[in-house]
Amino acid sequence: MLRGPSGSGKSTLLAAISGVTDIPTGAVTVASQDIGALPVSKRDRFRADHMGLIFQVFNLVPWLSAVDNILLPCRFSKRRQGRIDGTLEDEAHRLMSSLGLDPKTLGHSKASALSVGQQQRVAAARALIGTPEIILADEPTSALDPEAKETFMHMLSQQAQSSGAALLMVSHDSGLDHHFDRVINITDLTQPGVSA
Amino acid sequence: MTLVLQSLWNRRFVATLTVLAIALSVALILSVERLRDSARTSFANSASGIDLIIAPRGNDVQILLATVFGVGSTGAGLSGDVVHMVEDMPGVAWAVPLMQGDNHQGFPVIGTSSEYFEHFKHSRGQALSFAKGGAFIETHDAVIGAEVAERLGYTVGTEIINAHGAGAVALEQHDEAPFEITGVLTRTHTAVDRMVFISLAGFDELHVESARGSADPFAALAEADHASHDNEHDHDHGFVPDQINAIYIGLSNRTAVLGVQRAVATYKAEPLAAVMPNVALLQLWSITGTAENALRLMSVAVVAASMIGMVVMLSAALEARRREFAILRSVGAAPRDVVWMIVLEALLVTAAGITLGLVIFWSASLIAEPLLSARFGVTLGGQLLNAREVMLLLTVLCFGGLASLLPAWRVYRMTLADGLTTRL
Repeated sequence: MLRGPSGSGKSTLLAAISGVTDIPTGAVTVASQDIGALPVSKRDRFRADHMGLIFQVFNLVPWLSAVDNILLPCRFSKRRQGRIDGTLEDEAHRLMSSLGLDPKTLGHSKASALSVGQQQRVAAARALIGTPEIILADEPTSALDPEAKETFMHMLSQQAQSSGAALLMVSHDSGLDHHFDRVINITDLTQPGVSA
Repeated sequence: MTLVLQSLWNRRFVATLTVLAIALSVALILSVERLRDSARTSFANSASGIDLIIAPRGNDVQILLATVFGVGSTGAGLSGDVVHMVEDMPGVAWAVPLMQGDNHQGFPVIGTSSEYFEHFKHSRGQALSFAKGGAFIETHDAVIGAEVAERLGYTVGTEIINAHGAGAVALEQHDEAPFEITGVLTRTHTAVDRMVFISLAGFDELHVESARGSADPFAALAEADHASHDNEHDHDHGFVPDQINAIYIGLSNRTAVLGVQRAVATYKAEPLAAVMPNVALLQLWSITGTAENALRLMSVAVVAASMIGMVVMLSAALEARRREFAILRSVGAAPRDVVWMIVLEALLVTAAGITLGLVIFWSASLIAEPLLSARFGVTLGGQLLNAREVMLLLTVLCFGGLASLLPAWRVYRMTLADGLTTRL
């Protein structure tokens, strides 16, 4: 977990890792791939294949159903699609139920009809589908109440673990530290001479 | 693809309106094109078998319209002697005299000889044929076109009464002389369908009788004199009245056309003109060309307006869809995927508009067809689409795609600038 006050560059770091902003060669390496060395289109492909992303809010395409939202990465990444055993729909349902969502009642409702807590869990399922190597989460819990926060974090870290994905989360909330193996304060990183 | 469809479905109200706008514009441009083409072919078909039309000197277009299409009149008549004069010219195969000026319930009545049915050719050389009965034999026989028969429910044996004047309003009925229908012509899809043919003798009789009704003893005497004069020449025509309106000429040798034309134009006894139907048609098209072009320009403008409407729809939705695009980016969509989505959306909307436009166009043609063929003898042609129209539609589709590049380019810049941050 990466912690730091707002405006300290956490989101910028995530953008750099996910390859959305231009970064110099050799600055960021993910799964032994130098992100900065990749051309723009390759970075998009790499992101689709190897990363799952979760944001604070507005994670879902409002006019798609929960299941369709979860399956979005599979439309852009053959690799993640290929890693799923069985049908895509079954996998989406499995993830939903493991994250505490009832696939029967919620699977086909429009994303805009879900509560914020449910939306975040659908977003988590989307980040997890096709077992990407790394999951980047940008304050996914800031819109949730304390209790929902705990259960969400619990389920997310559990699922990340079971699929073997690294979970990198940025947050200013120190109450979530116990879900993570390592907690780094971004203010330490930005000190000259310190490397992560 | 499914994403685009679902996204459009999410905005189905606006999308439907846009499709409708494109559909209407497509239907309009197709109708204008088809109507123009059909009018031209139909007119050309009506006049295709006649090499020359001889009438009192006047405007070529007016003569053509009056004789072949029964619209308007040729003005003064010409004397029956001209028929014999023309017949004896070298290169002339046949000459059929015409009398006009009466109507039957709005359909033009043509007085002619039965040779008309042998010689008149339409639609690239097809001869007239009878669906029922045959040509007239006696003075009070009549032959009607297919449209007349269908509209008025006439068949062989029906008696009809003609009215004086060319308009639909019967000012004076020729009550005294009913005609009996002896034949109904097969449909030709030309002006012939809306004509009523009677014998020259029958036509002449109506007018002679009304002239006698004016009680001028000298006129009656003159008539009698003329009648005996005519009889001397009646070797192959039967009766030729002393006043007719026009003569159709068929040539045995096409190269004779200029010679005949000059001979007719320099005829001493009365001022005559020999009109080549195809030349007169060209003149007609050059007159109507301006109006046609204005109409086409307008329909192109309507299509352009509908395209702009589509660009407006796409552009207006962009702001609202920023979040959607950012999410798609985060799950691995490249900026060009997003651009492609916009272009695909535009192509889908345009294609849907074209399809609906075709449906509107075809149903409109089905409804308009009987009206057009009844009023003007113009048929739209059974063809669903011709090559030109397909090209036209493809052009519209291309422009739809091109028009979408503007919002697509904006989206490209937007997704690059926004990255994954979803500020709203």
